[in-house]
Amino acid sequence: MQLRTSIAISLTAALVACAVLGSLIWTHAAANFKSPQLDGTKIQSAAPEPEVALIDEDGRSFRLTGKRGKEVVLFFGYAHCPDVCPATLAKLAQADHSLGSQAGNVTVAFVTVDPQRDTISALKRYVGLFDPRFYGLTGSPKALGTFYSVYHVWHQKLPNHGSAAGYLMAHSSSIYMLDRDGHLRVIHDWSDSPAVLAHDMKALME
Amino acid sequence: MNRTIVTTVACLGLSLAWTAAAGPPFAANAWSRPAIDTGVVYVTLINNSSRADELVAAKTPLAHHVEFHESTSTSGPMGRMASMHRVRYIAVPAHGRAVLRPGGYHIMLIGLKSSLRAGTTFPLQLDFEHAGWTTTRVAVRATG
Repeated sequence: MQLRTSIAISLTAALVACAVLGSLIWTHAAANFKSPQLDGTKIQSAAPEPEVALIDEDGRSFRLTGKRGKEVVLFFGYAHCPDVCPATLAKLAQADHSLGSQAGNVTVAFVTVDPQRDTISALKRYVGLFDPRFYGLTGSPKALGTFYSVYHVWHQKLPNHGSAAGYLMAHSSSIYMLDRDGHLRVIHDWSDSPAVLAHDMKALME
Repeated sequence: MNRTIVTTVACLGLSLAWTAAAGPPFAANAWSRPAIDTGVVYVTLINNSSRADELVAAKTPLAHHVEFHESTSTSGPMGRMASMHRVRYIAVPAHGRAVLRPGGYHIMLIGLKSSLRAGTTFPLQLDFEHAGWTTTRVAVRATG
């Protein structure tokens, strides 16, 4: 009788242990399944996107709040930049095209740090070189200032070292990826490969 | 008589091969991106000779000004930051090469007379301090 009881207790304990372990594994697996596996620097930001309106390459108002439901990729630069900015936009175009049937689902926006020279028409011609679906954004000094501060974008006009290009700009070279709720989720550097960028664009869409 | 001819031809061949191997610096894989006002050229400069050289000037009929610039990247409290400055020359070491690529040294085309379209090519003349002028063709590519 005692033996039976102890066997029963052992069996129950084993079953409970199995159930607990099983549920733990299941919970872990479910958690992994739900949160995207991102390659870039992950950001846990609950802060919403800036409310202010910028102006797009067609002169229309552009608000990030108006893009809810779509993932957004932001990059800050200037149209006179010959090296880092076009390299980044070319990579983002490559990354987007590699998404196949999902290409064009992510909003890609280039925000100027040089509103003095980057007019609406200059931005339209510039982003159009890479993908006509890309946005080229400028805005009032106040609206742009809000955008820069929300994403901690640093920029500075550099002294002209005798260049015919006029002045050059130094600027943050990060790529910011926002989820469909407008939360900043992951940051990449401009030097990351199109494959890495595409991976996280896809992960955010899943 | 035959032996003299053979020897002469062999010597000529060898000297030609030597000239090709140890000649002035030359440009390989020159490429550019689509652009409207300001363009870029990336290129590998190869120097097989025992004398170091410097790329000191460049010109193309497509741009009003051609300059050499270097992009630099620094880590800051808010991620990485890209900057750029003009350089007067680009050194090409003896028996070595200088690789101009995105994020480093590059040739900047300022004031393009016509926009650069993917799939086209254009000539670029490069002036080396010792070797003088040489011409290469630049391919405009949409990716990279």
